[in-house]
Amino acid sequence: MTRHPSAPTHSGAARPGDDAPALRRRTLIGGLAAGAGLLAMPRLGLGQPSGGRLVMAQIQQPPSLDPGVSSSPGSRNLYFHVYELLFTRDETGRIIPELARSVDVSPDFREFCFRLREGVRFHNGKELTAADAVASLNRYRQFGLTTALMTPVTAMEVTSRYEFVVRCEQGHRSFLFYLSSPRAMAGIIPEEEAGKPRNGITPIGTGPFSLAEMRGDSHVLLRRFADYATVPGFEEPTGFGGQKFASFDQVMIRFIAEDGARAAGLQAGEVHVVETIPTTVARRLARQARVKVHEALPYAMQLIRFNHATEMGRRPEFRRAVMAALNCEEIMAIAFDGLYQLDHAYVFPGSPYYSDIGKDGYNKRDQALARRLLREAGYDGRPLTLIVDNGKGNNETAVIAAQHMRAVGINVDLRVADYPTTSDANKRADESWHFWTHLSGSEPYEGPLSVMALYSGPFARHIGRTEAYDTIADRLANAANDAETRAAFEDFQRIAYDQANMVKLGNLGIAQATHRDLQGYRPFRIPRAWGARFS
Amino acid sequence: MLRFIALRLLGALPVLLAVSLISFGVIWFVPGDPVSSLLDASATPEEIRQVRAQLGLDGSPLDQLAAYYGRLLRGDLGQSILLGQPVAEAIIERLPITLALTVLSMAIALSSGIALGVVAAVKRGSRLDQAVMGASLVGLSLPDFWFGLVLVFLFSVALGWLPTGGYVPLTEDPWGWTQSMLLPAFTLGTSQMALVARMTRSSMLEVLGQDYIRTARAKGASPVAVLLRHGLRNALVPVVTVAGLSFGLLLSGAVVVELVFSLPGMGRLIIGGVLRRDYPVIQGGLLFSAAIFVLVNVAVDILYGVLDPKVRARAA
Repeated sequence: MTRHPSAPTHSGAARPGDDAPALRRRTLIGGLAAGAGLLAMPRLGLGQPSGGRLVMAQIQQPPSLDPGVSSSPGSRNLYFHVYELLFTRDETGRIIPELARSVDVSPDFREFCFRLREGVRFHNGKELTAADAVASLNRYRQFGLTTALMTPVTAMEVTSRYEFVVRCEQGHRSFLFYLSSPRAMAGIIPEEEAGKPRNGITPIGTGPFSLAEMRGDSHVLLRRFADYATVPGFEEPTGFGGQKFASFDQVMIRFIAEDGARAAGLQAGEVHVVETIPTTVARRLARQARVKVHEALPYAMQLIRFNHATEMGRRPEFRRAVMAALNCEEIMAIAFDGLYQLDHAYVFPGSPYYSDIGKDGYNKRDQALARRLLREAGYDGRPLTLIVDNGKGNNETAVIAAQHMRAVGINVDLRVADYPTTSDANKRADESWHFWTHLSGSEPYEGPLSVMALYSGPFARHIGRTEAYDTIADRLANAANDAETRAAFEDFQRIAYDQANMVKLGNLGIAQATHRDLQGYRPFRIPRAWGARFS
Repeated sequence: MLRFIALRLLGALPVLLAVSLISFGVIWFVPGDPVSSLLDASATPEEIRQVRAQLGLDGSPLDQLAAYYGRLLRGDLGQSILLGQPVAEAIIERLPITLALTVLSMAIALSSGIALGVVAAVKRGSRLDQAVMGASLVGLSLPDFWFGLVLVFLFSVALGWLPTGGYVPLTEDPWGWTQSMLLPAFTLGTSQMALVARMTRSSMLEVLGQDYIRTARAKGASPVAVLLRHGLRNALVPVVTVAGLSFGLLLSGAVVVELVFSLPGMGRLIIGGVLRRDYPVIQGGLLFSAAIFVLVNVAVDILYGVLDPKVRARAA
C-alpha cells in the first residue's frame, strides 16, 4: 500500500465533501492543525471552564445508550456528547478527523490503514488503542444500523498499538462516508465493552462528557470529562466535531415532551437550551430579554413520496400532475410557521453539489397543467390514500397538499395516525396507500450518497427501483473526484424532476432557544453542550 | 370481614387474567412496533428486519403468548425493549411518584372538597353557596393540561416560587420534593375537589333533612356535633364511593399531569410505552394499573363497612 495524501478525496469520504481540506491536510501532515485556517469563526474565549450545570431540554427520551443501535434524534443528541467517531462531519457535512489522526487508502479502495491519535482516554481512564477501534467496528457489524458500513469489510487487523487496517474484498469507496455518518454513529468504545450484548454496555466513550446518571422518563446527567483530549487543529466547534471544549461541570439533558413546559422552563431559568420549540412559541419568546432564539435552517427537506406499487403511483404523468398541482410556498409557510426555504435541490444550499437543475419543475402551481396530466394518466377519480403521522409539520403538509390535489380533481383520502402506525404502513409496498408525507434530514445534510439511498438500494422500496437511479448510485459510489460526483448528482436531480418519483416541497428549519446567560451557543442539528459557556 | 376481603380479592383474579389477555392481544392489532422508535424514517427493510430479530419480535404470536404467560407465572413482567431494564423495576422506580401525586391530589381534593361542600350545604342559597358551586363548576370544567400550564406560568415563570417541572426524590431533598409535587398535585386535585364539593353538598342537604338530625337537635346536641357527628358522617358514604372512583380517575389523570410537569411516573411510563410500542411496558403497566384499581375497589368496600354498620352486619 502506498500512502495517498489525497486518498480521502478519492475515497467515499469525499462523497459529501470530497474536497474536505481538513481531512486531506490531516492525511498529509499527520493530523496536525488543519482546521485552524479552515474555521474562521469568532473566538469565544473558551480557555477556562465556566463550571456550573447546563440544563438542556429535549422532547424524546433516548431509546438506547448504545452507539449505533439507534438513529433516533433523542439518542443522537446524547451519543455525540459521550462517544466519538474515527471521522466525523463538520457544519456542512464534510468529513473531518476525530479519533483517527489519518487514514491511508489503497488505490483500489480495498485497504484502509488508520492511525489513531495518541493519548486519547476513555471515561474509565484507559487509553484508546487500535484494539478498541477494531472491537467497536466489529460490534457495529453485529448491532449497528448502517449495514452498508461493514458488509464489504472482510478483515480487520491491529498492526500496532495505534494502527489498524481494514480490508475489503472489493473496493469500498463509501467506507469513510458511512464511518463518519452521524445517523447511527459507529462510536468507539473500550474493547471490553464491545463484546457485550445489545444495549448491555456501560456507556463509556471518549467524548467531552461522561455519563453520570440516567433516570428513565426524567433526565440524563453528564459530567465533564477532565481528561478529554481535544482534536488538534481546530479552534472552534464545527458540526459534530472540531474543538469540543467542555466548559460546564455537568450537563443535564431533561426529557420534556410538552412544548409549553419546555418554554416555561426556559423562561423560568431552569433550562438553558431547548432542543426545539414551535416557531410560534419561539417568536413569543424572542420578545423576552432573558431568552435568545436561534433558527437552524435548513434542518430537513419536506417530501411527498409516491408508492410505486400502486397503479397510479407507477404512472409518471400522474406523479407529474401532483407535482404541478402543489403550491410549495403555501404548504411550507403554513406547515412550518414561516421557518422554511423554498428550494428545489436535494442537498442543502452551500453544499458543493448544489445545482439549479430541476428548478424549472419545482413549485409550478399550474392547475391547468395538472388537470391535463391527470387526463393523460387516465386518472378516473378513484380515491387515493395519503398517509401521514400526526407530528407537527408533516400533518399540516399533508392537509394542505391534499387540498391542492383535490382542487385539480384528485380524490384524496387523508389518513393521519401516530408515527409507529404510519411507519408500519409505509413499510408495506402494497395498494393500501398512495402517497406518504415525511421529512428527511440526514440525507441532504450528508450529501449525494445518502440522498441516493432514498432512490436506489433497499429503502427505495416505494420508488420501484430503476436502472437509471442504480446507475447514478453506482457512479456516485465510484466517483474518482469531485467533478464526477457533481456530474452524477446533477444527472440524478434531472431524472428526479423528470420522473417525479418524489415531490420535494422545500427545506424546513427548527427553532432552538437558549437562556441569555449562555454565550457562544450556535444552533445545529443537535444541541451542543460544548463550545458554549455561562456568562 | 376477612372472608369478605378474601372473596373480593379472589373475584379480582378473572379481571386480571382478562386484562393480561387483552393487553397482549391488543398489541397484535395495533399497527407499528418498537422498531419505529429506534430507527428514523429512512431505515431500510434490512435494518428493520435486523432490529426486529434482535428484539425477538419475529416469533409467532402463539410463541410470544406462551413466553408471556410463562414469565407472568414466574412473577416476571418482562424486559422493556427501549428502557433497557426489567418492566417490574421500571414500575417500582416510577410507582412512588405516581402514588405520591395521586395521594396528595386526593388529600387536596377530599380536604378542600368536603369542607367546601359542608359550608355550601350549611349556607344553602347564600352567595357563599353560589360562589362555591360556581367555582366547583369551573374546577370541573378546566382541562388538567391547560390548568397545569396556567399554574406553571403563574407560579413558576411570573412569580418564580415553584419549579416548572421535574422531580426531586423525597429521600434526596424533602423540601425540593414538596416544591416539585405541589403544582402537579393541585392541578390534578382541582377537578376532583370540585366533584367532591358538589357531592358532599347534595349529600349533606339530604342528610340534614332527615328525622334523626331533627332528633339530635331536639336532644340538645350542639350544632357542630349535629353537623359533623350526625350529618357529615352519614353524608360521607356516597362521598367515599366517589372518592374511590376519583382515585382511579386521578391515577389515569396523572398521565397528562406527569407529561405537563415532566414527572417520571407510571403515566409517562405507560404513555411512552404506547407511543413507542414498547410491548412489555404496555402489558406490564396495564396489568399493574388494573391490579391497583382492583385493590382500591376492595379498599372502598372495606371502608363502607367501617362507615356503615349495616354493611358490616351483612358481611358478618
